[in-house]
Amino acid sequence: MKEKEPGIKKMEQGMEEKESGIKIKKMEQGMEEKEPGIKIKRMEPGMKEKEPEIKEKEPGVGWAELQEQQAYAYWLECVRGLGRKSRWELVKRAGSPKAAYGMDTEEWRMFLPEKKAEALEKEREKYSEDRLLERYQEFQKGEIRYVSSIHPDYPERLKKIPDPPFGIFLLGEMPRKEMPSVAVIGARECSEYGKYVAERAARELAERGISVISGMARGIDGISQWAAICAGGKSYAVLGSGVDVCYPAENRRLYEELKIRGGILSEYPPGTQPQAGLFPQRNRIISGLADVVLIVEARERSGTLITADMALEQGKEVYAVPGRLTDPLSRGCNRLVKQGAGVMVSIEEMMGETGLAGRTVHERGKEKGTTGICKNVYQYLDFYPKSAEQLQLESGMEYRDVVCELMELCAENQAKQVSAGQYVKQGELSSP
Amino acid sequence: MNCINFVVPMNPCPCGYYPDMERCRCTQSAIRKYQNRLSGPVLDRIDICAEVPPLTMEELEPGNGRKGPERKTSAYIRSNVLQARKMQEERGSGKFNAALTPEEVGQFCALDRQGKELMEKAFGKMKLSARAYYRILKVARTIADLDGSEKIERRHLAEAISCRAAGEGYWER
Repeated sequence: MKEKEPGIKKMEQGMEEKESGIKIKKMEQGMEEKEPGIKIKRMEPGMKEKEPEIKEKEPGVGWAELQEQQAYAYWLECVRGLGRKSRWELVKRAGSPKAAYGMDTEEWRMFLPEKKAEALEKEREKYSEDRLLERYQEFQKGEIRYVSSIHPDYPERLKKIPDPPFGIFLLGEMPRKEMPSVAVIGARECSEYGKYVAERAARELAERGISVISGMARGIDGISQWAAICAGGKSYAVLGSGVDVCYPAENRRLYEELKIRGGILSEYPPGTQPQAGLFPQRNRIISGLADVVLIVEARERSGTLITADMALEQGKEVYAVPGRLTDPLSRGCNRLVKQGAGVMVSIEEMMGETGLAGRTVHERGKEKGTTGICKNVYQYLDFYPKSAEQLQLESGMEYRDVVCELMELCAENQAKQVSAGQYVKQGELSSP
Repeated sequence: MNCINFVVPMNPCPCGYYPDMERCRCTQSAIRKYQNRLSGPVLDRIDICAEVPPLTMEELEPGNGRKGPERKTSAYIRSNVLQARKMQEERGSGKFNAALTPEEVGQFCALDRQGKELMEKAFGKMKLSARAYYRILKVARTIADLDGSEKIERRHLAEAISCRAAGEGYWER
């Protein structure tokens, strides 16, 4: 992640040190609203928000009224100094976002701290009802959609988690209700083994009509999402920044593809910059949107394990990819297995055990094996780096012949030189 | 012609332990930033890159060497090098491979069909520069010389390619 700010890096590292059993409540403090730097993007033809079908179970809510409520919810999202908890409280007490706007300041003071009531008062003075509706209309002309919790497009899955987001800012589309989904998450600093497993798992999921949810982070997250998209599947990213902020910048291509082949979601207003405190928060949305959470690689005491805890709290099935005992990147996963998480031996089995298999749309044929050339050295390659010397020892071949085959394998994408003289296996395995 | 031997050691990351993930806690960006201090243009001028892994105590003990079927003594390597240098001098131009002009490279470093195939693949895959192309051929010539081979075989070329500054971004998609 080249573009990472030094400050953020520090904080993120600090985050990893946190206890994995961290309580959601504790993190609430970091939740204070961030400056809603809204970027208005010009609308392209065909970008217009499609009118959602209004469901029967919300009889009173017509399209026009929904739009109005959305505008008020959007106003609430943009009040600085107001957290998610307060927003929910306001709407719960008043009955709707619009009613919350219309409350007396005194009423606000009854259940909100003085500062928050003041912030609301200030924002109300700034935005008269007309002005407020106008601003929302202006916002709607942009590429980004806002889906509040009363909107029919608000994911059902999120309504079931403790502490659901008040609203979702969206680029692309929402995860589909009828489409099963698996969150594939893991370490940013992952190993070649992790990369391989993430890639393969995501591809197999995508091929079976399962969407892949993740956080678009460097490492496992981004790799799995990219693999899902490359396999023609759907993938959805939940960001810890505004949806218009591509973080990390190196995932720009993935970001652009996700807009078209899936969606980018965030509960933070556009323009919100990534902050360490926001990441554990968004993790609960990742696990919330998924039916099963698959953890590929995680260190002990890592952000990934926090997500695993949240997933369990939400009642989700958690699966871990087993690893070697000596590998620090597998320690988190092995720990989860010990605590009773499912062991991901194959996607097929995982799907069978979790009931995802019955819900999938289609399956595709077997993956292709190696093309037959240079199998001699290939069979000694592994997903952790081996030196050419090591391979020479193991294969009993001459050094130059080993290197020669390695170069062929590299050219054919079946091996990779990860650093000078160190090689790892790439690509497919013939199916067990 | 002025020639210099440019030999430079470098750590893989700020803490020096990467890729030993047991001890290295540098972030990927820190590692990249560190490695980027050696710029692409400089890297392009380095012909041979090798990673030197830490030795175990067993290997350090007198009498033991690095494990492997080919344990070469310095004396053997010296005679091997001298022999290769002699081959180069006798080739006609009276200079070492590093100093060959492009015309001479064409003359002395010809590849056979198999070699050309591999070079083609590597050239496309690694997005080699013209400089890198010639340098790989010269290194391949030298490896063949060390082998006492008149012809550059495919395996000589492969080794020369593998010595090219590897690391991320080279064979990368």
